[in-house]
Amino acid sequence: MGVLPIIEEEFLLTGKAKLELRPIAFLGELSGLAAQAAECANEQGRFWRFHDILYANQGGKGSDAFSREHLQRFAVALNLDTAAFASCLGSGKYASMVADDTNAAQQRGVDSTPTVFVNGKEVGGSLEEVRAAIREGLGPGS
Amino acid sequence: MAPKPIKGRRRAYTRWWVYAAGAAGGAAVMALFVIVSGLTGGETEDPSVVVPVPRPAGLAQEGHVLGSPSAPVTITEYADFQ
Repeated sequence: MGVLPIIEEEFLLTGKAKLELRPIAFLGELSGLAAQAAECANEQGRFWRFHDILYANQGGKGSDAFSREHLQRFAVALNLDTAAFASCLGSGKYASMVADDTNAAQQRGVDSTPTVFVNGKEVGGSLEEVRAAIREGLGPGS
Repeated sequence: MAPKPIKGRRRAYTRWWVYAAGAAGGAAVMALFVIVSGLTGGETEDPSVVVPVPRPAGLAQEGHVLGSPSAPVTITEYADFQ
């Protein structure tokens, strides 16, 4: 089981913490395209559903798992407005935003992903480290 | 001789039940499909795509933020989807 489902159950579902995801693109052109696609899904209120389908269909660096054709298939599978999605992705309207976010992350010291901050402080990515940082943020007795 | 018309009527009676059972089965499959589609937000099935299970309905999702906006702790994750 990954870190996120456990954090979700322990801290997000209980209202103790919220998770903000910032997509960045370190691993090449298709990383950027996938991040743009997530923004296009966000226009339809389906950012997290698209996030989940991307992770469920990852192919690793160098694969074509996030080609335009595959991203469009994900949109179909999630029953998005596929014409709007294709138009959004084709326009490249989020390309500069993803590039700016990636640059901003690098300036903040992010040089690998996933990189996690809790209340602004970078923490290691293991479950125990994230859990400890959240409990520290919640204060005594949490 | 035995009355043949009775035998014929019994065959027709049996067929009627077979058709009825088939129709009921078909309706049950359709109903199940509609229920499952509703639970997954009407998402469609493509065998080449893995569609993950939806998150619990009680978990707030707003833009890039998962969880209650008023939660006291903020986790920020930088992620490369690939």
